[in-house]
Amino acid sequence: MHYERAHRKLVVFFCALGLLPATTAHADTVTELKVKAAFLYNFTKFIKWPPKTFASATDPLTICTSGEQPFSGILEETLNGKKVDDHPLVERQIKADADVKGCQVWFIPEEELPRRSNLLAAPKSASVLLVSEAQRGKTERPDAIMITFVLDSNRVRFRINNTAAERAGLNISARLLSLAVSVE
Amino acid sequence: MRLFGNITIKRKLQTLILLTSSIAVVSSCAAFCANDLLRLRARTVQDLSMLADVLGANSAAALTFNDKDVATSVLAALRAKPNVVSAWLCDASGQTFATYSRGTPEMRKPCGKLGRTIEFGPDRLYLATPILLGKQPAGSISLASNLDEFHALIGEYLVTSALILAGALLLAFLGGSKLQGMISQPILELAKATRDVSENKDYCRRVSIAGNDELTLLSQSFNGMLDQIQLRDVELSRHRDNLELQVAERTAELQSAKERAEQASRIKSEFLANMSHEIRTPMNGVIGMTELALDTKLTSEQQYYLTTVKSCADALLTVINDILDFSKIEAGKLTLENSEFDLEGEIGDVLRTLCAGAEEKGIELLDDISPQLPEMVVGDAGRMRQVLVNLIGNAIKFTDKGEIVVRARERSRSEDKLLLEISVSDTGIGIPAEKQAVIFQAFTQADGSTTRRYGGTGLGLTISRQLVEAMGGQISVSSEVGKGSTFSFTLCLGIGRNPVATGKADPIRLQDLRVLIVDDNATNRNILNRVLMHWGAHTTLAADAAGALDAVRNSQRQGERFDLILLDLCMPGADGFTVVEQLRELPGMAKTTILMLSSAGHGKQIQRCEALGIAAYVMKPVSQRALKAAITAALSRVVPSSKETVREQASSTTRPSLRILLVEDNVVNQQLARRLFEKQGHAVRVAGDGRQALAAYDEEDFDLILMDVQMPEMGGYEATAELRRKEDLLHRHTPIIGLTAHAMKGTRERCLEAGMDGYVAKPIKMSDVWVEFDRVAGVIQRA
Repeated sequence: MHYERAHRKLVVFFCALGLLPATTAHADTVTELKVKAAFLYNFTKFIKWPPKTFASATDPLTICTSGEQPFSGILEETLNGKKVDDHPLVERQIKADADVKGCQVWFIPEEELPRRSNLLAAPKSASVLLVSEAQRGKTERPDAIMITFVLDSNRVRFRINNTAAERAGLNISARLLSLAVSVE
Repeated sequence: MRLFGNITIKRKLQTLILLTSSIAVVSSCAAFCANDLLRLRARTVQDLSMLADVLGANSAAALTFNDKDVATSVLAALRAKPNVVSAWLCDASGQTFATYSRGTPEMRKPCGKLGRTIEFGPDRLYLATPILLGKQPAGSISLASNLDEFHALIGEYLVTSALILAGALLLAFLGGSKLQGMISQPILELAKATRDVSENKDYCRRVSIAGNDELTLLSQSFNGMLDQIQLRDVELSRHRDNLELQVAERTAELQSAKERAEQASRIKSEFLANMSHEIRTPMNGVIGMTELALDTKLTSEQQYYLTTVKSCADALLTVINDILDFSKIEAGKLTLENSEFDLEGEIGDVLRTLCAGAEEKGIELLDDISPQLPEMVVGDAGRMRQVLVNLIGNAIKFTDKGEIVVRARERSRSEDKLLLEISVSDTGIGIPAEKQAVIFQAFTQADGSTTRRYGGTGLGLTISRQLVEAMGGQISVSSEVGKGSTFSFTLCLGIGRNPVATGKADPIRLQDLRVLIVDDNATNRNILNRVLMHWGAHTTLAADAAGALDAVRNSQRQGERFDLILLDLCMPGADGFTVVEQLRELPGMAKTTILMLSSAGHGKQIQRCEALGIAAYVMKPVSQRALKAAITAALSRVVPSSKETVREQASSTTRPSLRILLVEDNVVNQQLARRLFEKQGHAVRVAGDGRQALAAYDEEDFDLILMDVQMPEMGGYEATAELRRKEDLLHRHTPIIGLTAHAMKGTRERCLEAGMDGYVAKPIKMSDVWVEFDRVAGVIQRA
């Protein structure tokens, strides 16, 4: 605890100095969640869904989450009032896999992945961006996951499986690709 | 322009060409450079902004995901652009996200506002442009570029321009030097020719300039001018040779012309004098003999004929006199006398001469002479008389009833000068306003019909005007048709030094004298009133018999009585005599002094005056002096001497018999004059020339000598001079009156110089003789 408090003080100090961007994340859980929420939002800016995904230009772009409230309200807070193009961003929690219909982004937390391994290959025609986290201690990656958050020397970064995205009819901007740790 | 004043035309032209061409080159170079630089600048900006856009797009994702490494590597691509010295990437909140710099980093705070900005510094171009992700701003990128390329280009342009300018000037100078010769060469040649002509007087010099421009024209004109000068030069020298000869010829011509003119003038004058003499002498006979014939027993028919002859002859004489006068004045021969004369006496004489004519027409002729006027003045009495006679004669001619008043006033006076104004007012037909301006011009009467009705040459007023102007005065007229005319003239006269002796030494003072004036004519009444008041008398006026009687009664009631009554003889109703009879019947009036004034002198009337105890009988118009003399005489009960009475009785027949010596060579005139004087009861002895006259003078005494001026053997002047020498020894002075046919200048002076007392122009008229005699007698007596 003592270490944690000292570290937080350091972050605040650096923030006050303006030398570090506010979004810089560390192993700290809340900060990491915030960075991941912001990344989820930012991904939508660089990805093009197939034209039939939205009935109208003002239809909401829905980011769905599974599991027991993985962001504990932080994602909702991040998305509040934001728009990509003219699509307002909304968060939805889904219990069953069948509920994924109507989602454009599906975030599956690390702990949920083992329970859904059979599922993950399934929604081929749904054009849903599947985002997950790198599993601790595991190097293999499920084929269907298109973007995977990784921690690289305490910074949140991501890997992109562009093949999976192309299979799902999603077009990921080259600019996003250039930021990825690795692209398959 | 002063700079250009001292240099030659050649230099001027060169300078002009160089100046214009350099202005053209410099301005066009400047225009091109400016255009290119502006375009270069725009291109630089465009390049840089394109670069910024690309870099911005490439770093948008790095900004979004906060990936500084990627951003820095994107900026590092600028290594390929050597002109970009610095670059900054800023995030959406304005914080510097990544930087790039070549060499020393720029000291600059690049992340400001998000808008697009372009800033041109002295050696840097700054450009900032926002980075958009979709519609959201993701940050901004700023680039700093050095302007080395830009500056290098400017330097290049300057060098090129300078080279072009130098080249152009060189070409212009070479071309101009060649071309200016076309203009300056002919001008220089012209200048040289002009210098040659003016310095060497070389009028044969010519300028030849080929071509067909203005300079050729100028040189042609110059040549033409030289031609003319040369021509004139030749002519001039010819003329110079001729001139002396011509001058001599002209002088001779002029000399002879002058001599001819002088001779002609002399002949004309002589002719004039002869004409005067030759015409007047026979006229003398005509008029005199007619007068004599009229006094003989005649049938009424003969009487009528002769009267007509007489009046025609008189008219003819007037015409001749007018024309002679006019021609004399026109010829500029008019000379004025400047001798002292008795102003009032002269005017009175004229009035007396003319009163007969007025009397005939029943017109009152009155004089109103200001008592303030000096008695003796200096001027030309004869000319003044002439003007007066003219004006009064006209007035009588054009007046049928009423009165003619002659007024004399002083207009202004200095120590020895007097501006006299004399006016003649009548109650005649008047002159229309439009004619008033022309009546003083020669041969003009107010109306052509006037000439037919009234006769006359129309020269009278012209002569009068010229005479008046010659005497320093002016003549004018004011008139109203039907009411009468007033002619006024002014004369500039000197003031005489010898006042007339009489009047000043009055034995009886007129001061406080009570006088009753009875006259029906208001003008006359007023004139008398004014004159008497001036003398200090108290006057009472009455217009007729009743008024006179009333005035007398009134005065008696107040216990006063009149010292003197002046009575007009001719009055409507009761005449003067009746009034006297009535007055004498009043108590205390039997011996009151009464003076009778009358226009006509008849023996009968004079006898009646004596019967009624009237102190004096005075002829009108009466001069002030005569009136004063008469009053003085009457009041002092002094019987006037014969010489004084003749003055009042000029034309009466009651003149005492005189012994007269008539010196005259012309037999007709001898007979005429003798008859005339003898008829009036005078004794006349005739002498044929001066010698005979002297002989006669030695034999007996005469009361009067009438001396013709022009006679054979011994003329009138010499005879008179001789006579006066004799008289000086005897202390006697016989009145001598000259008779002359000459109306020419200087006659009066010559007469007086010779020792005569006066002169009468022929033809002899009795009235003239007696007027002159009375005047002479008066002067002699006073002297």
